[in-house]
Amino acid sequence: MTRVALVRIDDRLIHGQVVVRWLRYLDCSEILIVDNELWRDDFMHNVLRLAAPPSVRVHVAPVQQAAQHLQTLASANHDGGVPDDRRRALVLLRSPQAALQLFDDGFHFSQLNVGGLAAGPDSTRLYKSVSANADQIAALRELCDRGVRVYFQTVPDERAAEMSHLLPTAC
Amino acid sequence: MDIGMGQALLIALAAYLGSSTWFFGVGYFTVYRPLIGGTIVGLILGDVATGMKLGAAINAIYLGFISTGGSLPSDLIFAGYIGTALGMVAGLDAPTALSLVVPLGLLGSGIWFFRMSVDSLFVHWADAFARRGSTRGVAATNVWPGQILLLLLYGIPAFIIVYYGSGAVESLISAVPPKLVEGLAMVGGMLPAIGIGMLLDYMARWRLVPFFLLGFLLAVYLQLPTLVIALVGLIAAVLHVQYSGALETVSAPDKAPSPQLPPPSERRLVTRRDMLGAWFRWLTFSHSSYNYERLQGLGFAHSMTPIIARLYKTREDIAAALQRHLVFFNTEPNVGAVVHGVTVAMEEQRASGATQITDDAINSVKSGLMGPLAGIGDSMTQGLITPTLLALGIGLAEQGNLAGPILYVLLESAAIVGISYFTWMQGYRWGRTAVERILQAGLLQPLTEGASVLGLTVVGALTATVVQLSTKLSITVGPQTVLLQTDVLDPILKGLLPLSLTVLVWWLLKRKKSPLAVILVVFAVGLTGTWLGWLGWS
Repeated sequence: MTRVALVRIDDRLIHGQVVVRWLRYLDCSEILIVDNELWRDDFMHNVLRLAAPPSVRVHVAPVQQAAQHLQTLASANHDGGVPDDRRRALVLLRSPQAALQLFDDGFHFSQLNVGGLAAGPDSTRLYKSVSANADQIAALRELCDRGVRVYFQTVPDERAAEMSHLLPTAC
Repeated sequence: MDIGMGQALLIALAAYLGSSTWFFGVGYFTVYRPLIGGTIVGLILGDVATGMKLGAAINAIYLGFISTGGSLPSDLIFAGYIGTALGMVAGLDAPTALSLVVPLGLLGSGIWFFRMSVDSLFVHWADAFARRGSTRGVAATNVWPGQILLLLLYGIPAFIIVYYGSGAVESLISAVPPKLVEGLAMVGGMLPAIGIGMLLDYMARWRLVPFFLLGFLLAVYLQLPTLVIALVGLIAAVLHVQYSGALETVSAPDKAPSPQLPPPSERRLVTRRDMLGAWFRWLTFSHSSYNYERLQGLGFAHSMTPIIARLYKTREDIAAALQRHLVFFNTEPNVGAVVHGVTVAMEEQRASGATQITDDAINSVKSGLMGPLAGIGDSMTQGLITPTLLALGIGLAEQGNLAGPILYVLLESAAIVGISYFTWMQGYRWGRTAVERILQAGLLQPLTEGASVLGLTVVGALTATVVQLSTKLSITVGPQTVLLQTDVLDPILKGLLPLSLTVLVWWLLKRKKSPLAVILVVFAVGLTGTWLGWLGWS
């Protein structure tokens, strides 16, 4: 049974930090990209599939469907079964809002890694290459309220920064 | 060795040049590396051979260095340029110098973060120029403030440390007990195992490990020259790809991608000169003002200035186009250059009246493609080509052959410039389907597989020459004394200890120990081992 090794917000999705560092560090053989828009885009679908290393399978799913699938996986792993650690999956999202929706649709992840969010017109920089606007921060705050540990970390060998430290009022 | 103020200034200037990444568009892949930095410092100090050898040894520690998305574990300029200069002026032997280089590299690692934070200010200056429709202003903002900042950030510490620090290092080394100096030298010989271990952690799969051992054995028992081992590796790579089925596993493309664009000959708004100008600007200045807020955003806008100047004539249109391209952008600059080609094609269509090419359309192509291409690009350029050629260059340089750094620069530059030019022009020719064409051509996987085989063979050979570890332990049984190293270990396998150390480092990294923790372990083992008299050269 596949196990989710990491849930990560990174709007560049499958890029260097993910391919060169996280996939190898976590030994993942699957990437699940949860995104309503990309799911409808055949071209990007194809590009993302081709961009991953040959040994890694890439799936793209809309939020609701992904939540159901991941929830089933989580409860199957939880109910004993045979916890087969050989297949690990990395869940990638492009925005905090999608992460919040994924949580509310039923996939109750306990930790959320925020690795990259591009700066926009009204955003403030929170951490290295993570910037967020008011809506995005609100979504992260909601996730904190639901008991999720939200932390900022771009690559595995760097120290994680907790959202509760960076934005003390948020959690 | 004494150092003149002129020499210290030249080294400071060279350290800036190494850090700036603009050097002929291949700076990050050439002058940034300690192998080249050491050679340049040696040239300045009047002893090329020593500088080159020291730079090569330093580079071995950082063989597994991969910078992704602006995250940098150690500063190679501090390690390479300042490390070589300090070692040479203080008259340290290579192993002792190596043990000082690692703390130097860590000392400098804060500079990168500081630089990326400060550069965030400059993009706002560029925003102001863009609003006024000034392509020149945007270009100048990308080039000057960031580069002046780098000159200060690297030049000043380099000058101070090199000019005033070597005396301090000399007196430090003469003040500490000789046992400790001996221990530091032992640590220095062990440290390259970290670079090689990190690279193995990245490059090696279990099924490819035999090629690593092949290179190691060829170097230890046949003492073949590095270039010959590289040729053996190349032959092994070709055979492996042919017979392992790596060529056959390539899936046929689902459907032949259809070109969405008319061929460039029917478009003709952008001239070849514009294209070359834009490409060269990107190649050279992509990271000139690299910053956390928009990463390569300013570099992208700068590269588009010749295209924008050609396509748009009114101030409003130029301003809009500049602002369109000043947004967040980040990719691996060479494989990712296909995005620029695609963007030029889209801008050209837009300028000739295609209304479906909106800001959103251009933005979504850029932001969608930049990530996946960075993943492929980093694996190829930083993960395979660079370490393989570096291992070759370091191996040659260690033998005192000036062909090491020269060959490295030539081969690496040809590869980088070639990839960048090819992907850029393909992007322009085919539009976004170029990405599918390149990825589905089925060359990527056999190339990766073959390059890994070649790389592992060369790295195996390098392990035999640069990692040094030996024991002084002996066992006395009655009248006979058995030396562990020469009487027991060497007959089993020469180089057993360096090989074991390298594999141990790899295993620790696989067990998710951080490189810094492994470095501390190496220091602890090397120093206490020497202190107790277990490690040493008998």
